[in-house]
Amino acid sequence: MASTSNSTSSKIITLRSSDGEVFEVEESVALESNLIRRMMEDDCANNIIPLPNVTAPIFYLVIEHCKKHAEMKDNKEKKKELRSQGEELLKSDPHTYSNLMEAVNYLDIKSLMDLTAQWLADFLKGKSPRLIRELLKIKNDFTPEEEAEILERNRWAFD
Amino acid sequence: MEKPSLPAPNLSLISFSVAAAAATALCFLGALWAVRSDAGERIRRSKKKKKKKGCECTCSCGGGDAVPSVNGDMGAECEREAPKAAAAMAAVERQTGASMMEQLVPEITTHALSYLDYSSLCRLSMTNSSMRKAANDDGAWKALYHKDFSVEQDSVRPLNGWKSYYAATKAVVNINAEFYNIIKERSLQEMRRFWLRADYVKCVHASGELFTGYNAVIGSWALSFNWEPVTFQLRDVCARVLTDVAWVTMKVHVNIESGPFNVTNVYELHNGRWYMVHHHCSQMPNGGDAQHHNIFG
Repeated sequence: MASTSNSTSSKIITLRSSDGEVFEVEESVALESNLIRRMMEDDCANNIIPLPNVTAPIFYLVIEHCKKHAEMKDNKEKKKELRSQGEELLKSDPHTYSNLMEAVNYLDIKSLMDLTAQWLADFLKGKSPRLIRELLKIKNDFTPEEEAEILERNRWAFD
Repeated sequence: MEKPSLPAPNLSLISFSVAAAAATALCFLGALWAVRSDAGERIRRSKKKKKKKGCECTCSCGGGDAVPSVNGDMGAECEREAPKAAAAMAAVERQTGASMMEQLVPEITTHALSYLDYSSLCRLSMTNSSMRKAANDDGAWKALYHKDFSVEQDSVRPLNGWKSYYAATKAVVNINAEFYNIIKERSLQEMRRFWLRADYVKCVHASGELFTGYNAVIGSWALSFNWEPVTFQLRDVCARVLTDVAWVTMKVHVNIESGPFNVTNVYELHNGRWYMVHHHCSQMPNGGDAQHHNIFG
C-alpha cells in the first residue's frame, strides 16, 4: 500500500466509530481492512462508513498500527519494534489488547490479525501458568488436586 | 463480514420480479424487503449467538480434553476425564468476571492459539478450565503436529486426540535422537540399555550384515565403536506411534565420505520406556558422496 502514493493516496475515506467520532483516513490505509474494502466495492464509498463495532480509542490504535505495519515492510528495525510492543500492551492493559484484537478481526485486517496473535505468542513464551494467570487476570478454578493432576499430564512439555 | 454475500441473491430476485406482471412485482418486492431484513437480522443474531456460544462452551465442556502421557501410554486417560465435566462446570459458575482471554470469540482464540508452541499451549491449558478447553483443542494440536513433525499422517485419527499423539511422537523422536547420541559418544553401556533384551531384536547395518538377538546385536555395535568417530545429521524424521510400538524413518547424513543412509528404527514400549527392537540402515543409491563404503561394516 505504501507504493500507491502516486495516484490514489490523496483520496480520503471518512469513517465513524461506534461512539460517533469521525475519522478521515487515507484510502490506502483504510483498504487494509477487507471489511471496508468490501463496503466500498458495494456502494457506500461516498458516504461516511459506519463502524458500529469499534470505539474511537480502539480505532485510533488500529489506524496507528496499520500505518506502522506499512512502514515496517522494508524496515527490520521497525519490524522488531512493532513486535516488541505487544508485551508492553498485554502486560499493562490486556483489555485494550483484546478489544484491539476483536476490532482487527471485525475489520478483517490480515496483517494485524497476525501481528496481534504473534504478540500473544511472544508474551506467553516461557511464562509459568501462575504468572500467565496473574498478568492476564485468569481466575484459577482448579482444585489443588486437579492442578496437581494437570501438571502431571503436561509434564512432558517441560522436560 | 458476511455482508457481501447478500446482494447476489437479492439481485436475482429483482430481475425475476421485473419479468413478472406489475402487480406481482410489487408483491415480490415486498417479499424481497422482508427477506433482506430477515437475512440481516439473522446474521446479526447469529453473530451474537456465536459470542454467547463461546462463553457457554467454556462452561459446558470442561472435560473431554486430550491429555497425553509421556511415553505414548495411551488409553488410560480418556475415561477419567468424563466425570470431571460437572465439577468443571460448577467451578466456572463460581467464577465472577471472565478474563480477556475468555471473552474473545472462538475464531480469534483459534487464530491466536495457532501462533503458540507446544509448551506455551500446555502452560495456557494449565491456567484454568476454560483456557484448558481452548488450549487443548484437537485441531490446534493437529496443526502443531504437522508443523513440528510431519505433514504426513493427515488422515490418522489418534485414539486419545492430537495432544496425546503429539506428546507420544515427541517422546519417540527424542528417544530416536538419543540413539545417535549414543553412537556419537560410543557408549556401549548406553547401547546395552537402549536395546530390548530379547532374542528377536534385529539389526541390519549399512554393510547389509544382519545380526539377530540381543547379544549378537550389542556385539556388532561394540565392533563398530572401534571405528573412527562420526557426527550425524538427521533429516526427514517421521515417527508413527501406536499404543506400544513405534517406528521412525529418516535420512542420516554423516561427516565421512559414505552415506547418506535411509534408516528405519523400530521401538517397543515396556514399563513406560521405549526400547529399540529393530534397526535397519541402507545406503542411498544416488546420495551425495555415495562412492565409499560406510563405517558400520
